[in-house]
Amino acid sequence: MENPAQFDLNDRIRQWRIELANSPALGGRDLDELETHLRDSFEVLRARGVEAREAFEMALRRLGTSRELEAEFAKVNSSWVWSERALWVLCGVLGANLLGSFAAFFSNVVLNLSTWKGLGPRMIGCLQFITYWIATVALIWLVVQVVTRRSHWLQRAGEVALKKPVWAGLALIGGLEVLQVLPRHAMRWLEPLWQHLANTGRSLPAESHTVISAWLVWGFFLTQALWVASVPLMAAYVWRKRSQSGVWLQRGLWVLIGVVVARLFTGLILEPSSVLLAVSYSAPPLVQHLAGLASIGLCLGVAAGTLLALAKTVSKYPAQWEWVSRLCRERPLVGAILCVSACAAVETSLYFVARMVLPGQLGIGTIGSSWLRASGVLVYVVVPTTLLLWLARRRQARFPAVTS
Amino acid sequence: MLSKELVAASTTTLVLSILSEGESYGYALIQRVQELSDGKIEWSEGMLYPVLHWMQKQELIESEWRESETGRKRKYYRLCKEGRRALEGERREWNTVHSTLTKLWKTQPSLT
Repeated sequence: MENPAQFDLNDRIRQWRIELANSPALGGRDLDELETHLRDSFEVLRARGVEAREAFEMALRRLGTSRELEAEFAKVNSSWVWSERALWVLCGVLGANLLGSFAAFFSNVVLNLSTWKGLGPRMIGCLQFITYWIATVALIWLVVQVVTRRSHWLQRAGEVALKKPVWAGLALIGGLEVLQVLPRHAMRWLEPLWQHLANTGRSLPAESHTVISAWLVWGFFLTQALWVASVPLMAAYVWRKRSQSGVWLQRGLWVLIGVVVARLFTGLILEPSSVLLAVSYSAPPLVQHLAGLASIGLCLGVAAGTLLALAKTVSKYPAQWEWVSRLCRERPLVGAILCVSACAAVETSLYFVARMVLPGQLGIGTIGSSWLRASGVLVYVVVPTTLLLWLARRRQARFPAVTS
Repeated sequence: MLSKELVAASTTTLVLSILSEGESYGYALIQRVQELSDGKIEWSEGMLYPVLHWMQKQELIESEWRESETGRKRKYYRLCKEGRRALEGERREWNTVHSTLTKLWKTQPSLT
């Protein structure tokens, strides 16, 4: 009847394990226990005379589908589920850095070129906005291509990185810094070209500069709104595709949330530090350096406080959180409008509070700006990289048995 | 067949009661419940493990990985002190429900 060569129990179990190994809800030990169960169940069915393949399928059915198992285990392993989400959010935070400098470079080039061509301020603002999004989408597309087509590269890189986490961390921080600094330097190297173009092009009347910056501000707000709106839209997409989508789509959603969080909180997290540096601007250099040191602590404190407050809110109001996530999944457009309005309200009120505390622009000087830059690097690159590697190592320790 | 709600409500009590007979592992627990209930209590198999893990977190039971007589590694569960105490409480509560219903129906349903 059956050909034993056609059915390899160990191979089938390995495939089943790989399918579930991507889920943060189940650890290596959980899978070991379920595997023993599956083997027991299989043997009992075989002893009753059920054919091997059929016996395995029956045992699997009785155990439950991957989705059911995931949902049930997620209830007891919720801390693992959230640490997996945090891992991808951190990737998003790091990605936001890269995306920001990459897209800003191209939109600056377009800004300079269109100024030289003597385009109207409205046109310049629009062109810059469009360039930003083309560059952003192009970079995202590139990343998606690498993830989907060359996932073994990523896996290999991850394995190497986790063997030497300190070196990997330093390399990642260094690499991100180079990618941040390069476009900025490239803009500086192109400076003579812009000068030349400015001399040969039609010069813009002085008043149009304010109009351009007004358009750039509008472009910035629209960009923020589009980023915020993309989260509920993506959540709805992932939800609809949940039966056939791979695990990467879900991870992508959390990466996107990381990008949006990094973009939304940049101002909030660095603002208190810049106030401190502005206040100490006219003091002697030593005091300025001390204030700089304090500003780093302040910045880290604000970042940690904001994250804790967010986590507390989510865990204290699970019903409301569930309501929001259901709204985003089921009515993505309403969700998008709601999210954008909420973020706009918070950002605007913070802006007005900042304006009330600080009348007008305050200079922070060279010392101050170096410290502010250092705070930015620490809170957006060094801390996320360290946390990312820590979470990744913890995660790896939980899945010792997974091999493909 | 028992309703889903009643199955869910009785799972911990059943696990505690079976483990009070001696240590056991997931698959055997399921078999035992099926056997005792004549197949009327049907647990969805994979769902038992999160319950066991939750009970372990509550320190009602403890577990240990050990090689069985067949050579297969198994996770054995056994009752803790806290679990015995919880079982006493559960027994009282279920007996209350049982005796109340018995008086109401004036019959002898076999709940024990």
